[in-house]
Amino acid sequence: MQAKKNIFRFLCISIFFGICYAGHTQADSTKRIGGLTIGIDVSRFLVQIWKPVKGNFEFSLESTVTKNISVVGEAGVLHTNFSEDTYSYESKGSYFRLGTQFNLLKREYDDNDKLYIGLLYGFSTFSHKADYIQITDGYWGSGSGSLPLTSLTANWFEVKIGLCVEIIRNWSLGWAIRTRIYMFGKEDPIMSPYIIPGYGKHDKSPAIGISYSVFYRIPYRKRK
Amino acid sequence: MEVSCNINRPCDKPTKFPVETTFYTSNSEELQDTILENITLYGIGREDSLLYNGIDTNKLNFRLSPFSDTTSIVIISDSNSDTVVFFYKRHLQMVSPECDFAMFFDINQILNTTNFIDSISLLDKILDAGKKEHLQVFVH
Repeated sequence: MQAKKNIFRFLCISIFFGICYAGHTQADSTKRIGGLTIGIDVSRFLVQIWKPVKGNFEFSLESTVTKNISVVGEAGVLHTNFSEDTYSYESKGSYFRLGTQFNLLKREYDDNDKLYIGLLYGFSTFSHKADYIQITDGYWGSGSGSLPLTSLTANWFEVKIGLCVEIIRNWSLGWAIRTRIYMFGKEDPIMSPYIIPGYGKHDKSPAIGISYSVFYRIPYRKRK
Repeated sequence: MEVSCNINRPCDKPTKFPVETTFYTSNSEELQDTILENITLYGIGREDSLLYNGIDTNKLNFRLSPFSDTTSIVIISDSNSDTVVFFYKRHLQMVSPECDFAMFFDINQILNTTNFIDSISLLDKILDAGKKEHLQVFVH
């Protein structure tokens, strides 16, 4: 409970200071450009080639609050379904991440390229089940069982380092390396989840992830 | 996209949980194990397949049926025969991604006939692969 309070306290403080800093520096910023950036993680579609992921979609929204600081939110859904020799497994869930990003590059006028570092808080809610679980005993024979649908949650922190390059006006491509540290959640004592939506393998902390996204920036601040 | 190595690691955890049983004499005030001679062991319902056949030992183990809440084991030593009935709860659990699933047992009650068995003592209701002894069988 105390950990949850600390996380939300951190989020509130970081977003509050980001907005305050934006307001403080606005008067000095004569060449600042801003806007809302929408992104889609296209690497999610590639994951389905080598992982038993049936559906995975993730999008992001990023809003600049100063020349170098932005607030970012990411959300997605994940559906996993696979069959092994001794069981079949299914999980469905959604997730979001919320945090701030800091651009390390000294931005010039009309420059949308970014080398950034970000700190995000992630939350996932999902459910999973297993069917046709084969149990074999050398003496008593073999049979099958199942584990019912169970609802779970996960909370984590994520450090994100990425590069984003504008390809054509307002359209950018970018990748990011993400290191996730699992904090807490509602766990299943009977069966570990194959994958936590938005986090990755449950048995790994820190978990490393890579994303490759397409971004479109909707400029809403007039360039001075 | 999450990064991980797809290496099929071997299962390194137990997935079977036999009842580790030791025979003790009931004629001693101290705990003293005893060897039973010519032991034959089988489960009721599997009379066609013997777990042990004509051995002399003070220790043996056998597994409970993962498909029923009751398992009856017949122990024959020389010409004497006793039946031990286990009543238990089962629960299926994933051991690990490498080991898949296993059936775990919580024993509620044990009943037995008393032809050569005097009494039975269950040391732990939960069958744990880490323990060397779950059941103490005291014989006349």
